[in-house]
Amino acid sequence: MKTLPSSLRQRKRYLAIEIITEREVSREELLREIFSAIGSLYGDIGSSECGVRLLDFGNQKGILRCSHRMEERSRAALATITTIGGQRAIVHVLGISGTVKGATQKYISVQQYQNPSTLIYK
Amino acid sequence: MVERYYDLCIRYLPEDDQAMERFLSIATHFGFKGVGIAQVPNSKSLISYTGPRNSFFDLVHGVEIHEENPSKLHSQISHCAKKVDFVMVEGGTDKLNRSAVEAANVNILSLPFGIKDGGLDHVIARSAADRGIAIEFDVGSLIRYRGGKRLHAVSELEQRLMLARKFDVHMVLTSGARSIYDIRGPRELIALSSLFGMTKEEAINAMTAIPAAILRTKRKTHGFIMDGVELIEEQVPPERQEEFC
Repeated sequence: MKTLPSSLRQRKRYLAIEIITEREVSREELLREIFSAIGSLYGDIGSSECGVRLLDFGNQKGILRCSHRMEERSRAALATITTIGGQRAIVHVLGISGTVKGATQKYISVQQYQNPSTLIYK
Repeated sequence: MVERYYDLCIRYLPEDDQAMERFLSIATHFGFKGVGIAQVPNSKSLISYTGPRNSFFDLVHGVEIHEENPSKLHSQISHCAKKVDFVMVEGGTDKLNRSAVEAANVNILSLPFGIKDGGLDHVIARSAADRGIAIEFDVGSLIRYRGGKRLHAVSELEQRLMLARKFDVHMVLTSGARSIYDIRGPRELIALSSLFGMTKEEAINAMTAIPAAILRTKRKTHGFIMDGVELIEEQVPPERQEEFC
């Protein structure tokens, strides 16, 4: 199957997220928790409309993709996550952008280099 | 403009200064201007945090009163009201709710879910609106519960929202956090409140303007003199302004 031309593709939103926990969590644990939260909140139909996908995750931060205009729904579902891999956790959305590059530059790299004082969790 | 978000009604008190600092750093990181910690009355550690206080962060001390007996409620409220920044009463049965909205010095009425002969009805809503008592919208139940319990919480919140809109009752949107991991950011609270039909404007208002108004009257700042007295700033007409120069 050929990739659709950009004009025919579904529009997307990219959420820069961070996980606040005691220990580090793995990508698999996070994914399981995200899909269980979205599934229990919206059911199967609603989850497929949200079209959530975890693109990149490392160092407790990640980029999550969702459908255009479903960002508030996805944000609400992410807020209902209480535990990841058996430990208490908060999933915090740092920001939303229309491109992966935008989300990374604006919310993930800037936080690390410009404002380290706000990242005190340990 | 940066909104000054408040999350009043956090039912969690960090045990020591270290936990408190962590709590404050998370709250500031989420973008809150201030958080209110609602404690049970007569707890000793009401204002015990001795660590550094940030001037830009507002730590509000409140009290949450659980009293089954309506006649004892008034004495409890008057006992606590002068010591704290806001008074919250946990309602329950109709009698208790009625007595809570009739009492002086109550700021927020918090209603538990799933009470048969209780909850928010039009009588309570109307008198709460008259007396300027805010109703708490606790989205913590949407975070903590799954399945049937959450379902009932959503429908009850919808019902309350309908009544609050109809009678123009003040709303306070809170996370009702019971631990440090129950805190959610302002944008998350807005997204959660949209699940039961609250609009973004209402949600922002419930986290900025209404908590600020509660604190303003309680803390007696910004030209507050006493109940019912308002300071009107004298405006000098333009032609007389020139004479002064």
